[in-house]
Amino acid sequence: MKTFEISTHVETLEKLKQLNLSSIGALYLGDPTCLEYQTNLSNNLQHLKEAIDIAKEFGVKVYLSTFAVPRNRHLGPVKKFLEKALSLPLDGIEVHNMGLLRHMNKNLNYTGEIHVGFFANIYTHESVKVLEGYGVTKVFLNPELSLEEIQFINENTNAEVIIFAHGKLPLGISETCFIKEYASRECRDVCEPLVLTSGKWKLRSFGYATFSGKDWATLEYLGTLYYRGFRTFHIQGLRESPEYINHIANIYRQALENIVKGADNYMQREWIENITSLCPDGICNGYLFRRAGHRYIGKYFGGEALHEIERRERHEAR
Amino acid sequence: MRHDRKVSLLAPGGSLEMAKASFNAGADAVYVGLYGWSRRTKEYELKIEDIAAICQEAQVRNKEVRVALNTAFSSLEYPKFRKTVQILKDIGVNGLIINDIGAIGVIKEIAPDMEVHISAGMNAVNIEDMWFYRELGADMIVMPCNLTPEEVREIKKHVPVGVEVFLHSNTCFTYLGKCMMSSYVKHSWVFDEFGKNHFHGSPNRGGYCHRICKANWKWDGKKVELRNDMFLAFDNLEDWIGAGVDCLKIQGREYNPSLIAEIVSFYREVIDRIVELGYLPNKETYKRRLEKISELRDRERNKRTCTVLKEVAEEAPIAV
Repeated sequence: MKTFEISTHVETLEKLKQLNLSSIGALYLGDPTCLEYQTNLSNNLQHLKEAIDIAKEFGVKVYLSTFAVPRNRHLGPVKKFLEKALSLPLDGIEVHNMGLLRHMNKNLNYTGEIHVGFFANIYTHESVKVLEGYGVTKVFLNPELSLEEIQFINENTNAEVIIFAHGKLPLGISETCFIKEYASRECRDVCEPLVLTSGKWKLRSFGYATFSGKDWATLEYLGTLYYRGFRTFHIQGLRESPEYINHIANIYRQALENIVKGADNYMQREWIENITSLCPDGICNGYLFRRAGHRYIGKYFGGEALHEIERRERHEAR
Repeated sequence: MRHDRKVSLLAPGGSLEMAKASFNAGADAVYVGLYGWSRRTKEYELKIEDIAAICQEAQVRNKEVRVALNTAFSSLEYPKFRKTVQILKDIGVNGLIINDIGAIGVIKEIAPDMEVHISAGMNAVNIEDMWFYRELGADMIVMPCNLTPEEVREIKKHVPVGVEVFLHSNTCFTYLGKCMMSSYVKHSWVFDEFGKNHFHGSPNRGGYCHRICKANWKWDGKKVELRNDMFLAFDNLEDWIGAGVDCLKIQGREYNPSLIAEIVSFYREVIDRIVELGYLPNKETYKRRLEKISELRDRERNKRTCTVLKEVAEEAPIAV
């Protein structure tokens, strides 16, 4: 039985070349939010081939990520690309769209691993059971779920739940590109996210997708998650620098190694400082504890302990 | 070209009064939200006894009632969901609008004759999606407002499933059902007297949206708008009907019943003319009538947007 696996998304070959793969067990190749830039591995067969070779050299599993919201007009090109990509030594495919899932399973009779991505909006164990019938072996659940809901699903299905361990939260995906609307650009390569602000709030627009300003972090709860049976931990790497991914993956790998060894206190003070400097807009994890996503509940990152919050809320309710 | 098929008009039933007004104005069916289970706040949802009364009204008039259970509820609420489906079957509901893939099979197991409608929040956007839901047992799929009549025509050509389109709605900044901006900013678990979680602040899970996309957003110091356009099928309604749409839906459980009656009556007339003649004569006259109705509707919607945004601003520093 595997001890743990850390995964991340990487959009381009150039970025992959700058990653330190020693902490990473699985890579999702490609950007599911945008089909427009040519270097997207979801859309570039030559780069994908090279990326797979690099990952395989380091013993890393590779999954091709597919476009999250293909309309009828996208289906033809996406299907064509998939057929060609399946001749490469991929370990599996990540789908966010139920139509593409059906296509992989029913039309292509795909027997490799199929993982369902975070834009699929999966909230319940009954949904996961349906997905299993289509060959799904791993799922990203909607981040709005609480810890007890995630655990219930993991314990009541055969598919494995991937923990969204760290990174900007996917908060939505749109029909049009926000970046192109406000900043004219040619989409040859992946673009820098725009930072949207309203008062003290920040969001990051990736063009079609909107992500949180703050970084979701589960570092403090990794031990709990591990002992509750979770084994795959995902670092959200889309539109993040290689340095960010390398540092974060390294911290989470060390933490998980300490946990597997049975260390009483696996946390190191310097990790908190490193993460704080890598995530300058703040840290959050609220959904896990039935609260707003932007909040951080815990003893690190300026958070508040859950029992303190509950006591205050009870007092306010009176 | 004259259309030789029926296009049904689905109207909101935010209350017994609104349901009656909708039927009187010419709706073929009404949809209602069950308390705690639909994508609207509790003020616009109904309890079982109210829904039973609407079912009786509908049966007398040979019309239909659909119940929205279209929140992304919790795995832990599935036992409650099963009981709810059984009760709704027993009181004579014709169809359920749902938002969870797993719910389709559960409904078909408990109530095999119950129609299953896939909520727009499930975001079926292509032909393969339609096949996916059809094969699971869906009877009708509600299209997100982003789709075009051409896309629907292609879907209807290939997939034997009912298609429902909004007549008058707002497209969200994101694809419907794929937005968590509201719950990211403000969210809490709130249980009602029946033990149902209303997931306050999550439009997907509880229906209450703080409309964060409508706040004042800036990029690089400049004001920017997160798109939130009005969707009006009227402009090319002939195309929608010609594309094979089976059901046209009016949104607005939160509006005044008299406004809803006016909207239903307007669209009943328009749809009947298009089905009868293949086109809409005197379109400009209808358009002027619709502009007046839209103004009233938008006024009510904007009032609500201000209220929900101010609620967020009270707790968190967002620019309203």
